Amino acid sequence: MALKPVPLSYRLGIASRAIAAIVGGYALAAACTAALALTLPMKPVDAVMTATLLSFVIYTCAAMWAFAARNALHAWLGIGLPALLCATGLLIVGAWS
Amino acid sequence: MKEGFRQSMAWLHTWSGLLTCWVLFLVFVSGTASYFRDEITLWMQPELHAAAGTPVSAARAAETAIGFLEKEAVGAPRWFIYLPNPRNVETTVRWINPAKKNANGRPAIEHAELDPATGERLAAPRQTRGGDFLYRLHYELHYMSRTTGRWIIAFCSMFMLVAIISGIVTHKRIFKDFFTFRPKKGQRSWMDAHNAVAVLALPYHLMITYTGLVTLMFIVMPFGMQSAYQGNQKAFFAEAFPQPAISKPARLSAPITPMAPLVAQAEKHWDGGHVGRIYIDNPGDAKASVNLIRLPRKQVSYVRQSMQFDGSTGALMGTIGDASSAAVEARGVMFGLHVANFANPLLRTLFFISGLMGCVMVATGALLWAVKERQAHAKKIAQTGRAGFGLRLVEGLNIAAIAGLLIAFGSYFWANRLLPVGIEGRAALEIRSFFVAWSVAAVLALMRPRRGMWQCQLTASGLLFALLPILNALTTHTHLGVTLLRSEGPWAVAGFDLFSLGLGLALLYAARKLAHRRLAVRTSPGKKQSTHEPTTLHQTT
Amino acid sequence: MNGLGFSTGLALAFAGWTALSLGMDRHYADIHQREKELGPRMRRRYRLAGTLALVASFMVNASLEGWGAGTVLYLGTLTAGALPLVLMLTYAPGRAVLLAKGTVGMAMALGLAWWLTG
Repeated sequence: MALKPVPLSYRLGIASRAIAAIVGGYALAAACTAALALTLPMKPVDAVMTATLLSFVIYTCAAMWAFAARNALHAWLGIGLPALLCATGLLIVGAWS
Repeated sequence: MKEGFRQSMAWLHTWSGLLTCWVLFLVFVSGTASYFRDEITLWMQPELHAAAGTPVSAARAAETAIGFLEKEAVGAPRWFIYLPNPRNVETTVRWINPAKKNANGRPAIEHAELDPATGERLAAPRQTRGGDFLYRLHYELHYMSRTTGRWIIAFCSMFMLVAIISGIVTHKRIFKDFFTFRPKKGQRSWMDAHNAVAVLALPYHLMITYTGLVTLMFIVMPFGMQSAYQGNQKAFFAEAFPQPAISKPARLSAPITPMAPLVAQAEKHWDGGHVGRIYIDNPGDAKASVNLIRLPRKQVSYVRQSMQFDGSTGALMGTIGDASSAAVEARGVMFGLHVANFANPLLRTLFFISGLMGCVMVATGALLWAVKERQAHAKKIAQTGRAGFGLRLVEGLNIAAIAGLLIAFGSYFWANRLLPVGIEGRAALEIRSFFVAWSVAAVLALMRPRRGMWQCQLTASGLLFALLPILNALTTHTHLGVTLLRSEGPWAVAGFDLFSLGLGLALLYAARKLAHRRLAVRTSPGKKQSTHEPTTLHQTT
Repeated sequence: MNGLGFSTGLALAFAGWTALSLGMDRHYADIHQREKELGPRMRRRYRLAGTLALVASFMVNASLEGWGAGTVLYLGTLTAGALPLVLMLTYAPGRAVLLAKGTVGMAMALGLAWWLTG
């Protein structure tokens, strides 16, 4: 491993991806859980249970996407857009008090 | 990053693993210990070792417990009876004492350990949190609110999950390297060890991490409840985990119905299942109700089946948990797999072995990173005589979190035998010994994160564990001479002593190996330094 | 929990893993001290034998504890069977084949004893 100085842009890119993974991923998992709990074709108690059980799969996938994506922008888009979609859907349904 | 998927996953694996590895090591060690927390608690209460007499039937234990409670817990609105089971020889009873208030202003909960055959209170064992301290440490940490601790653990567990998945993705030769372990090759050996313990127990590691998150999921991911139940968490929990209704007392006294027929009915309904707990509401009242809760045995799922009876007539009022929906059952299975209450001693031992492998996985991962990093910067270190701050920090944290933690564990058990019985706040003092020992070790480790410190701390922890059986012999009557050689004492106590001895010897062996390598390098200065063992370089930080 | 049954399952797991490792170039070479080379036919045979032994181990565990707990027990048995093999291959590879043959024999004996006792 060469010891050349690490450029600032690289560090910022990592930081951006990390935030996308940790914060964005959580937001995505949260939004998906809320949306699935309302839309899964089961009794509400079962839908909530199933959605919550699955939430960590979503979170893991988001985290992996954040670092596998081509660049930080793609990382944010891949996580942010679906999250926004779910959030908008929830807003429309009126799930937010 | 343009380096490709596998490489980006390798990077992710390294950092998601490294940043939380020290907490995760604690989680794995305390969790693995928790498989035997009842046995650890028994070891820490020598006064109870004699009670392991002939087994008593559930009905009889229930009757004697009620006999005790009718005398000692008059007026209590609720009785809790924990019947003896293969892991606990005594009956534990708790009751709500409305006359006393605890620190939070709520009615105090009293408890007592009883001899199941007679209902007599067992001589009060020394005050200790026992294995339960380690169990709670595992998911709530300490010296902080429960919620904070659980959030931290959940956060680190999420990192762990990402580390496992990215690790699987990035491991190129997962089948080719399945059985590979090449010792004495420095960095490669650490990598082989890390891969071996990770891959050979991979289903376990994946399961334990995911199910661990499931146990905390309603705290960290409450959004399903928020949306589908408009934030009414109580309603959700009432539906998902129904509890028997508690009726108001009728203020008419009536004797409690005999337990034997209720126990028999429950065992028949559960097809041979056993009663684990009995909760009695409004005991002695006409509106008393008895709740029999099944002991988890062969069923993996944690969904607790229970049966409710009228407390004065013995009539069956209802059952809970007989048929759960697929989703509730799925969660029950995941919870059950994590806590492993269903496991017989053999299966529990297998879980324990896998848990130990998990501890080694986390430790070797952290050590591998430090070794790799030191080698990568070997030239620079040789030039400037000093490793970078990050590397020194990680090396110090490694010693503190791994060797230091083991010293803490050892100190906890030593404190249990050495602290005088009956002093005020004894349980808290034992726990403080754990943290004081850990703090001292950690500070020393961070001050001088060198190989010598590893040797020192591994030796210290090794001695603490290896000599523990001897300390046991000097301070109690149920030492290995009695429990093992004369086959008298509780097997759990013998097992604890033996494991402690084995662990201590293993740690001392590791410390000695470190010493030999250092000696080998010093005595052959003319030999060309091979690149694969950078930590044998004279450390000059 | 039947001790004989579990031991049978464990012995099958160890034998199965060993057979699979024999079907791998690297370990075959280690075990035979580089004297023989692994031909394609032997490789297939070893891998088939290993897989069959592992499947047999699963059947044993499933019959011991049912499908649910049996699967959990099986995965633990797989781990417990693989660990000693890794140590063997590292520290005493030459003895691995002999040990595997002995283990298969033991598995059959244990299986018979388990079947006879109930």
